[in-house]
Amino acid sequence: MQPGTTNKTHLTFWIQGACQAGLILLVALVPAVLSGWMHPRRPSWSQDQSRVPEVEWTTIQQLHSRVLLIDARGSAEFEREHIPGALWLGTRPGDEEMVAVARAWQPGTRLVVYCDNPRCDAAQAGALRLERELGLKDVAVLKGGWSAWTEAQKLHR
Amino acid sequence: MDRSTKAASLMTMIGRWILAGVFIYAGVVKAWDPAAFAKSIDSYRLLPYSSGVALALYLPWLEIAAGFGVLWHRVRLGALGSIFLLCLIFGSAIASAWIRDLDIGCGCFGGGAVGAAALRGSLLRSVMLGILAGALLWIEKPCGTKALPPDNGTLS
Repeated sequence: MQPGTTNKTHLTFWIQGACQAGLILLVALVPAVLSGWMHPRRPSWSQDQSRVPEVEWTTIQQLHSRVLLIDARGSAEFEREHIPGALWLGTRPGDEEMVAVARAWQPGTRLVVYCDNPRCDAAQAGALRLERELGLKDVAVLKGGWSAWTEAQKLHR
Repeated sequence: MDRSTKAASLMTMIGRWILAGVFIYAGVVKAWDPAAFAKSIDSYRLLPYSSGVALALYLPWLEIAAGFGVLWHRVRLGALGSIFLLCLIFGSAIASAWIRDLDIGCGCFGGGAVGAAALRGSLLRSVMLGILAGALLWIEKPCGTKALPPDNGTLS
């Protein structure tokens, strides 16, 4: 095979690949658009609706209403130490954990969910599930999580 | 066909089915709950929220289409190229989350373990799949196809 023919073959190969990739990209667009329009679990386009508000530990201490603390860390961390009075939800709560929260909740109680630190997402995920699946309204996430609470305890000593 | 060519052909077919299976499964799991996938993308803190939502709606279907594309010789080249690029992108995102010490999960197959160990495992998986896609792409090159017989065992 002549060198020029080889180069042309390779170029054809890459052009062919690019066209095929383009076709795949286009084909995937159709169900994606339909999904965004009709999927029952389509995400909200507004971020505010998909994040539970955060609350500082100092604010919680000043609240006159009842507060139920929910721990969204792993079971090992919870067993080792947790905020006194907190109920365990876990990072991937099952029906048992959700039912336990539902039983502990009383009207007028604010649920405050926490996970390990500002970088974790389990508290937001857990809080959203509590809002959606249990229909609870007054749900918040502890800003800074367990780390913020331990720091606050050190300052008070 | 000699034995080494048969073995190479069999390995290639297995590799295609593994790659296709993984991406089709991953796409289906995420297409089932795009809201959860949008939250996973947001937790990486790399994109504006609305961009993450668009990606959460589109990416699962791209994975499914590319996965099936690997099994059909008419678009296999493009599908392998798409998957290779997806592995590069996923690997980069996971690596950035690991470096920034984010306490999140990959989100690659819906929910899952969170934390540095989980991200390391997901990164390794992305790298391995990228290598597999790259190898299959290399086999598709004009000079690479001479060693293999015509397509067998896949959609035609």
